[in-house]
Order: sequence, then structure tokens, then C-alpha cells
Amino acid sequence: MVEAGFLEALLVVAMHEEARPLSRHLRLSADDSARGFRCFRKDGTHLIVSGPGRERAGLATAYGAARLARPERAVFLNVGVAGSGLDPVAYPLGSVFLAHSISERLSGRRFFPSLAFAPPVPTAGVVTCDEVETEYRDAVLFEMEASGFYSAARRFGTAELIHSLKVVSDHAESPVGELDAASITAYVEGALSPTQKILDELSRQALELDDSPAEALVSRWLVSHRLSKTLQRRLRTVARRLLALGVDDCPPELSTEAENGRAFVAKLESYVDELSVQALESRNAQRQDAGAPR
Amino acid sequence: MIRFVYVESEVLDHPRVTSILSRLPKAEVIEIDRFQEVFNRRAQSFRLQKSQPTLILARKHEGFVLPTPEGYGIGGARNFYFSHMMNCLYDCRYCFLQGMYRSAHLVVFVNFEDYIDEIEATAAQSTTEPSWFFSGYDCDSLAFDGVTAFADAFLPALERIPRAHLELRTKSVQVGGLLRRDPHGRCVVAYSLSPESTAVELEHGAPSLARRLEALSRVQEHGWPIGLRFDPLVFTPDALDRYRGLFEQVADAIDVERVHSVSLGLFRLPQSFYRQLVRQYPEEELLARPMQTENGMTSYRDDLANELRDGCESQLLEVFSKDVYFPCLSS
Repeated sequence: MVEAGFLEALLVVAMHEEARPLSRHLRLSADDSARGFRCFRKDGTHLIVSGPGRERAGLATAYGAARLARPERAVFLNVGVAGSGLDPVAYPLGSVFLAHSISERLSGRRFFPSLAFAPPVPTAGVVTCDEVETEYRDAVLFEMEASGFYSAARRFGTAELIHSLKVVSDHAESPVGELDAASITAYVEGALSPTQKILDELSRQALELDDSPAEALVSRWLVSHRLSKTLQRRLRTVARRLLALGVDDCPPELSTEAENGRAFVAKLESYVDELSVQALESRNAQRQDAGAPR
Repeated sequence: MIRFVYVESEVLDHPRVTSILSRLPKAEVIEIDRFQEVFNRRAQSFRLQKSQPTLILARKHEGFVLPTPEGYGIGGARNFYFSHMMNCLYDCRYCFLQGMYRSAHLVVFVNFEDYIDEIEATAAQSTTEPSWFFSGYDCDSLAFDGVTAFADAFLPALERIPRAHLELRTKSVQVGGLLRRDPHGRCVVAYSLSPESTAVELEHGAPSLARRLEALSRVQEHGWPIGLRFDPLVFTPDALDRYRGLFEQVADAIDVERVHSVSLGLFRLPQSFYRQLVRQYPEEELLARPMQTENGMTSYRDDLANELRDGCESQLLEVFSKDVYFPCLSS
């Protein structure tokens, strides 16, 4: 059972050179329980090193997502370096961008990350290529993982919490051939501040979607009652209603005196109906006592 | 604030897109093929998008004008609605749009002329009966008018379409455009109104009741026919007191003798929309009240619904003439 307020994030990078500064900054430790990919972890924050290419990125994202307790409420962030076809004067090496579109060059598939916050960096179109781009023709960023990451993350997560952050590591005047491992690490290091800001903002949004108190209540009730899927749906609704009224649980006799699961759900619904009217009445009475405007 | 505008390639050079973008100089423009690439995709969160909605400019290809659900209307026999826009700037917790879409992004279909052509063709289907066209069904008619110039496009067109009547349904106080124009007898400016305390609790981002009443009064004084829409009625144990106060406030603010139409409808939603709302806003007390579902529609439990509707109706008819009262029976 996941506690209320428990946040999870999955960061996906292609290379160890990209992982190192992130792992240090987030104080992650090697996760020895992982198989197939190098993983780092602290509490709910996971970092996975996919290796280069969109297929590996997709596999790593799926593997990482499967290891999360609540992927539908988790933050997914792909961080990595990219070649740039943008104006090198306006956007020199080290410039950081959030992807506003991710296009897969081979298939033509296109994704539009859902931008529901004010990003701390400019946005750009990202093109995922299967080969290293050396011509930098269009005014976009070129890299090799984002589409694989994004399409896999979308299967597990909430669209607004899935993003790809890219740091310019090469462009026409400083081509990819000149790039070395130390530079890659330095570029990602330079992007730590916006990375942290984005993680903070997305975590705040993830908390807004946190439905775990209702889920916890339902799990508790299901220990005593076996219910069909339809009744479980009704139970979930009634749990949310109960919590919306500021009540943590139902009186125990509702559960113990119900002859079966269906009767329990029906009793619970009647209880919450009455409670909702009583709650409003008592609030109004308090307002009147306080002489508050009505 | 709109930070991102997605524009379909097909309308990138449309004059209305140019005009809209000129009003949003700080927004970043992202080109797309079709608005569905961004709007209503799987696993999107209406709630999160609502905190920072983006604008999508698109072309509508079909279904410009549709018949209203049965029971929806203000006295006419031929009733239609059209949506030049999907979603709303305001964030009213009872709004069915939250359950209808997975996206809170604002979509504006910029080919207004195609809507106008279809309105003209629909009105021409009857040579005797007036046709009513309701514009505030999937959006607020005027809230985004400062950007889209919707009224500037549709009101002159209305003048040349015989037997066409238009309802602009709104909570917006952006009425400058209406006040700069001669009023049109076949266009009703209808305000959605709730008691102030209900508005504060549930109508996030919408103008206060006082400001809406002030705008309503100015629009009426200018000569526009005005409508009053007490829809949805929201249950609270003191609802009848709240609504009595509201009806009195409205009567003080405007000339009740010159009101075109008044309607009233209970809080109601298709069951699937209601469930979606509960999923999006589990902590919302409005949704925790006693509800029942009948024929796929979820509304207050019968006893509460009857008390609320009947009580409000009798109070309403103490203030407004029965001749202008149209209960909203639609589902």
C-alpha cells in the first residue's frame, strides 16, 4: 500500500556520462535489485541508464515504470544531450530545452508532451534519429532516445507528468565528432538547476493527483469483503465521497453488521448520503452562529 | 496566461489566426497537423491542464450546427447549438466539460464563416418558424471574445439571416464589444448566475456575482435583450435562502419587466461525466452530496431535487413573469 503523499519519479538517460551528475545531485545509490539496466535509486526517485537508441530507451522506461508502485502518478523525465540545428549564437552549447514536440524520424510518428506548467527553460522540437545527426539542417534538436522514452512512458503515466529535457552538446560549428565524455557530463551538470525545477513542479502536480487516501481506504474495506468489479467501483466512489466530507473511515458496525459485500456498499452509500447533508447543515449553523454572511 | 498556442498547419495563414496570435505576442507557437494530436489524448489530466491551459487553433470540418438535446430551449420550436470553441477559461466545479473531455486546453475553430453558412442554411430550412442557435454550450460565449472576436464575426451575420435567433451564454463581464454595437433584437445575452457564496465556492476564475450583475445591467440599458440562467441549481441546506437572495439581488440590478427569458435547471450530468469528475476532484464536497442516477443521468436524490427545484421555481415566479420562464428540462 502506498502512503498518501508518496512521490515517485523515473529519470531515463542514455549514457553513464549523463547519469553521473544527476545521480550525485539527487543523492542516488546503485540499485542492485535491478536487472538488465544500470539503475540508481533513493526512496521514490529512480534513475535508469538505457544505453543509446530509442528501442533501448523504450525498454528501459517500461522496465523502470514496472518497478514503480504507482506509475500513473509518477513523474517521468528523460534527460540527455542533443545536437542542435537552432541558431548557435542565440542557443550556444549548454543551452537547455524542454521538448514541445518529439518526432521520430524513421516512422514520422510525432508526440506532443502536454505542457501544463511554465517551464524554466525555452522549449524546442526534438527529432529522434536512429543514426547520429551530423548535418543539423532543421531548427530542432537531434537525439536518439526521446521518442522511445515518451511512447513507453505514455503507456504507464499521466501525460502532463512526462517530459524530455535536452542540453545542446553539438551543432554545425562544434560538431558531434568533437564531443567527449567529460563534456557530456559537464553539459548535464549545467542543466541540474532546470532539471530540479522541473522535477519540483511536476512533483507538485503529481501530488495534486494523489488519490492514495481513497485507495488505502478501499484496500482496508476489501480485506473484510469480497466484491465484484462493479461493486469495487461503487466502493471507490463512496470512499472518495467520505474523504471529501472530512471523515477518515466509516463506523465499524457498518462493516461488521452487513450480511454481505453488496449490503455493505449499500449501507455505506446511505451513511455517506446522510453524512453529506448533516455536514452541510452543521456548517451552515456554524456560519449563522458566527454571523458570517450567507 | 496563455503560454503555448498550437496551430494546425492548415490554418497557419488564416487571417483569424494572425489576428489571434497578434493578441498573444508572448505565446510560443507550435505547429501541429490536427488538433487531436494534442487535445483529448489518452492519459491526459483535465485537472492538471486546467492549471495552465494552452490554446489550440484549428479548422472544423463538419458538424457546425447540431440540434439541442430535447427540452433545451427558451420557447422556440427549432433549437440548435454550435461550438466555435471547446472548453472555457473559467473553472466551475460543476461544469460538465470536466467530465466530457480529458483535455482542458482551449480549442478555437477559426473558420467562423463555415459556421455562419450552416446557420444560414439551417435557418432557411423553415420559412415560417424562427430558429434558435445557442452558442455557449461547449464554452462561454464571451469569455474569450477579446482574443477571438467571436461577437464581431457572428453578430453582423445574424442581421442578414432571417428568422435566426442567437443566444450568447456567458459569465464574462467583457461586454465592451456589445456596448459599442447597436443592440440586435434577435440576440439574447444570457448570464449564468449563482448565489454569491455558491459562486465563490464553485466558480473559480469567473467574475463575481456583483460584477456580472453590473455587466448585465449595462447590457440591458444599452438595449440588448437579456436572459437569466439559474442553471445549475446547487443544493445546500440553505439553498432556498441563497436563491431567494439571488433573485432579489437580480431584481434590484436590472429591469425585470424587460427580461427576455429566465431558465432554471438542476445540477445534472451524464453518469460517465459525473464519475470522471469524482476521479478528477475526489476532494470536492459538491460531488459528495446525495446523488442518484436515472436513465444514465446523475443528479441530486429525488427528495433534495424536488425541494430545490420547486422551492426555487416558486420564489423565481414571485419576481419574474411566468411568460418568460423556461424550466430547463434537458438531459
